[in-house]
Amino acid sequence: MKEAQKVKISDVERLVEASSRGNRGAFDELVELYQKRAMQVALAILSNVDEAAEAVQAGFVKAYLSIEKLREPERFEIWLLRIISNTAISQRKAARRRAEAAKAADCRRQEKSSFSPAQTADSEELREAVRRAMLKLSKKEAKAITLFGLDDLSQEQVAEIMGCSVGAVKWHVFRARKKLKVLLRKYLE
Amino acid sequence: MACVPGEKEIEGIAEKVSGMNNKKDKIDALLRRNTTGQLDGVDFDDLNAAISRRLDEAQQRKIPATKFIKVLKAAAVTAAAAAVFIIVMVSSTEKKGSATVAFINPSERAQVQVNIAERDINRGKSTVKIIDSGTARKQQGNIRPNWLIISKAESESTKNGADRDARDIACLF
Repeated sequence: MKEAQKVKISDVERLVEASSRGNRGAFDELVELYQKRAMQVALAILSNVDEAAEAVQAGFVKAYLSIEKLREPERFEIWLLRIISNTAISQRKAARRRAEAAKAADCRRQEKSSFSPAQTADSEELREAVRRAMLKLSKKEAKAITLFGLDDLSQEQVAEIMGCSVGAVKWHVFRARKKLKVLLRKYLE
Repeated sequence: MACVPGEKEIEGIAEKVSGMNNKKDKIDALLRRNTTGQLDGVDFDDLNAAISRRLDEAQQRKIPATKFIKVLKAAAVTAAAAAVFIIVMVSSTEKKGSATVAFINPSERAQVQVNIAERDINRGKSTVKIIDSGTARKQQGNIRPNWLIISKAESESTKNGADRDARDIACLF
């Protein structure tokens, strides 16, 4: 599988230009290049593979339908990540409902189980805890901490994706960390 | 007096800051671990196939939508052309009013006939003064409206009679 980081910007620009002229094959190549990146963002926001996959699929469809409106092909990645993160954020409402149902089911299961929380599968528990904690953040906080966590994105690029200033991004990240510190304290010790 | 922190206090602050940074790093590391852990389990070939299917569906929907937009555009152009045609027809068949002035005798009194929409609505003999108000428009070749001041001499009894105000108002209208 090809990845975005290993491809030249000029190649991406060429693919974007071809896609905007209706070349489906070129867009398929862009999907192949950026699907991992898109999944990384969606997963960080939704913390659930199925929901993240749904957000990525819907995001790519939105991108495909509006790629002719993208005036600067060299900014494709920023533009795509904005679409993906917005799509993932808008799915949080449904995700929150499912999380509440899952929490109720968990409580019932734990009442019946003789195992302590420490004995249950660690990664599964952590995943669910992070998922619930992320759903408690505001949209901007969730988006900021997710994008800030991507190593190769600069603060300016995160601000560009979010459509706000670098200072505002830092503020949202600070607020998100403060909330997560409380919500995930059990896993930070 | 400025309060300068002592060595122990500085150490305390440094520990606090380092603790905060440590917690911050731990949160970031925890989130990253969680995402990476799940990302490792993703089948990207499956995801690619699913995206491709969704794109196929979107492409099929996009073609009729494009056709629909074209039909809609053609309908809008036709409607606009029809509207322009109707406006032109209405304005060309509009009945314009006119005023004809005929000097019957050498005095300043003239026969005034006001004709609106091909119907004579008033006739009378009055003193007429024509003010040419359209020299600029005249040059443009457009129809040029002129102001007519129509005055009629009144007898003393009419001028000062009981119904003079009613007559003046009637003249105004």
